Amino acid sequence: MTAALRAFRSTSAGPVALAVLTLLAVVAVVAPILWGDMATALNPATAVLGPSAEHWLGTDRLGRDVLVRTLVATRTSLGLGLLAAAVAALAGLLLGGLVAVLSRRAREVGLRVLDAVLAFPAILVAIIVTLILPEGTASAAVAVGVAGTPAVARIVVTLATAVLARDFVAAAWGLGVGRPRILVRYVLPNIADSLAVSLSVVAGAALVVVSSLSFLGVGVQPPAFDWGGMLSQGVMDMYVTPLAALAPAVMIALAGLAFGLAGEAMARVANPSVWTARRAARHPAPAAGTRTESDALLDVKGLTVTAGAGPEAPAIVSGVDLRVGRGDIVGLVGESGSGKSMTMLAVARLLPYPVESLADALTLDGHDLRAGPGERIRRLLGTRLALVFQNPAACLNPSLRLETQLTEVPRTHQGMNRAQARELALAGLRQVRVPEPERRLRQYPHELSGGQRQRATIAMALAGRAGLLLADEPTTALDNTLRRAVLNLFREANAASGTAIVLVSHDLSVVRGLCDRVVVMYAGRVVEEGPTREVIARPLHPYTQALVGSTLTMTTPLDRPLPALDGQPPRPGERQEGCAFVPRCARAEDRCAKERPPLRAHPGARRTACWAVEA
Amino acid sequence: MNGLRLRGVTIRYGAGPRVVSDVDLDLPDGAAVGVVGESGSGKSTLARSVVGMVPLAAGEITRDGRRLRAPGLRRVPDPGVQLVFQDPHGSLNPRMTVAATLTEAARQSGSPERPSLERVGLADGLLRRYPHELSGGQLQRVAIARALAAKPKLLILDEVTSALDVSVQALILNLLRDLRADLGIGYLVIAHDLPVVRYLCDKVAVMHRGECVEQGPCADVLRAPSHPHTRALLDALNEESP
Ligand SMILES: Nc1ncnc2c1ncn2[C@@H]1O[C@H](COP(=O)(O)OP(=O)(O)OP(=O)(O)O)[C@@H](O)[C@H]1O
Ligand code: SF4
Ligand SMILES: [Mg+2]
Repeated sequence: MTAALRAFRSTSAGPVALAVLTLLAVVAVVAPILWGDMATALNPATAVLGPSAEHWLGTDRLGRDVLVRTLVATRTSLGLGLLAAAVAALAGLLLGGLVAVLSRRAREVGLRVLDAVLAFPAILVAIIVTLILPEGTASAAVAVGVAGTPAVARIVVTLATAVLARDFVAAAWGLGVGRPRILVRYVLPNIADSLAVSLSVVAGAALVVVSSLSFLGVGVQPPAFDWGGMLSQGVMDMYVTPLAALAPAVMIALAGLAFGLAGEAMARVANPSVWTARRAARHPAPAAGTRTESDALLDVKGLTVTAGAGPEAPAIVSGVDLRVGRGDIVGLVGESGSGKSMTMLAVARLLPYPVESLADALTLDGHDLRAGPGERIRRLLGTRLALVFQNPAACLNPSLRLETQLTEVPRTHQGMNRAQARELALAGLRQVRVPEPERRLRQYPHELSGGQRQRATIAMALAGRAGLLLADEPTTALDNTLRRAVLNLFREANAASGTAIVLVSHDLSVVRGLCDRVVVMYAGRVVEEGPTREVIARPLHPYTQALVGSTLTMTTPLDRPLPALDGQPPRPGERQEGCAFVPRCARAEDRCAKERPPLRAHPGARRTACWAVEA
Repeated sequence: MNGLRLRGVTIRYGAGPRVVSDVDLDLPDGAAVGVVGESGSGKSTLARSVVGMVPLAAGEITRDGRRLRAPGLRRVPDPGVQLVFQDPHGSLNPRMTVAATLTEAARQSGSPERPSLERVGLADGLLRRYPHELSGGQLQRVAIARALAAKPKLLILDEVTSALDVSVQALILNLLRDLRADLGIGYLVIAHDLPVVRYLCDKVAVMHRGECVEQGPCADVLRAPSHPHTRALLDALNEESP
């Protein structure tokens, strides 16, 4: 929560929204108490005066101070806006929830109806409802709430439908959990944050619409007054005392804007990927003119990745060196949590908030990635680096057709037009053997099988013709014929255009088939590296040995349990002084727990970090 | 026959082409049958149809002689068949603790007691954690525990190990072998990984473009495949394994 608040404040919109909303809240509470009487006292003697020391913003036609009235009206205006938003939220939630749990076909119908209602201007609906409701200050707000209901309901349906399609809902249904309970226990908690974001925007809009109603004379009725009512009266004397109209107008705009900004800031907090660009800038800037002399394409030295900032933050990756020459294919293996993916994300400058990285060196093609403004780095990465992630769902946007996503890079970074980019995307899909590529381009990600999605992201990555491809578990969702096809594709890209590849995988057979060199990670550190064939044939480190031993093959004996590595790797923050593998290691000695084994060289261009291996 | 029986199962998404065509498959109680095939061949779709997540366009699925799924038949959950999903991160409610997830499952099956984590090789200390605080292998074991809470006759395992590390894969495979020996439940194993099917199953069915092109005992099919597609799957494997 505090982290979220910190994140909120560090958005550009957050602090402004927070400050304005706080100020408005204070005024709403205090102003009516201090100046309530003054705001309504009629005084013909002071009618329509211009600004003066006594009346900063002048007076209206009944002699009341404009500034005081504007401030006092804050309570009514905000109150009504919030009431309207609350009505819209509550009714929208109920209605949207109802539509969301309907059967597929009924839901379609419900959505059509909602969309039809939405095509009506909300203000018209609000006016009609006001005319039906009994007169009164609150009815304007209720009317606006009713008018806003379909919009909220639509948002709820959209959000809920996405959650309803998730596996955990299917699992609950399969166990017999009923629909109302699924809605309350499974859907609501998972849409709450996005919904809160939308509602803050709705609140801002509601405030403006309530004011508009008052302006039109169907909202707040005199003697009660809000900004909208003041505005409508002020407009009549526009030429005499323009401030009487301007002051409430500014307040409406200000409050509406503040809610909107708050919503936007919340949306940014809810979407951590927005943070990545900012992280890059946090890096200690290197000395000027650092175009390094390194001849490697990618050169990483002493990379440390921490969960959060500061020296206390637990380390996810500690002191990793990784050198990839032009045209090299390097495998990075290790179990999940060993820091493989974080190493990749750090190179791509895509670490999720609040993860931070530090490195002694981090260069791509001679350019220091730690330095400089985010924009330049992003362009550099956009053209020279391609990424394939383990979870294809994470790199495909569920709400965009494949065509939009597959053509984005060629269009923005290679300056292609739509038709060219489309051709390229089709060729890419054919290359990765996705059937019926034309039809796929029109489809959304969820309409593809797991393997097809993964291949689409591979096509996307290869389309960019980058110099370096970072592929994180690119073949886990593929059967072995396709796995072979994709690996061949990588090999071709490597041979034809010299694309260097870093392949992250836990599957040794994949690494063995493609990579010249392999780097094995355990608990955030490199524990072994060397030529792939030798490392797999004769692993030195006990962890590598276990990894090789538990790989299932077609000749694995069926009559006994598989050799498995029991226990868990230590989590970041739980890592001890000595070797991190101690609790799971059969060869651990006293020394292992006390002193961390350094990465030492071995014959045959190999290195390993283990006390039990003779140097 | 007691158990699950698929006859002429045909599935399409909306008005699209057939994704599964005319598949016949028998799963007697306690049997472990694997379904292998290339990506997009309709394996997951078939699995999902059994638990009612996608409707049949033609054919029927019966369990113990009772009609479970057929075109136009009302969609009702059958606790006797539980599906364990490929992506462990997506298959648990991120806003529920492990304890709440398991309690919920037990409640549905009318048993007052929460299934134990020990059964799936986990410590009870994990009960208070939320899914994002667990590793993929731990999540997959929680998902298995949740499925077991319904006391199913059949577990459908859709690529349950392919998102896991090799070392964790071995743990889950050992667990699944133990569970079957102890509880006598049957498995329908969906996998693209032939060694996994070979390790877990007695029988295997091979799918190709929505059709079941070959089925039989694992030992026979994997040693002497009769369909060219099965041969291709095996060849690709032999080429890359050490
Ligand atoms: N929701 C959907 N809407 C439309 N088409 C779909 C949908 N889900 C799957 N398909 C299509 O059905 C076909 C079979 O998909 P399915 O997921 O069953 O394949 P699979 O054998 O499990 O493949 P993989 O090994 O890649 O997971 C694919 O062509 C896919 O594009
Ligand atoms: S250093 Fe010691 S504990 Fe670590 S891997 Fe080697 S033998 Fe095992
Ligand atoms: Mg599948």
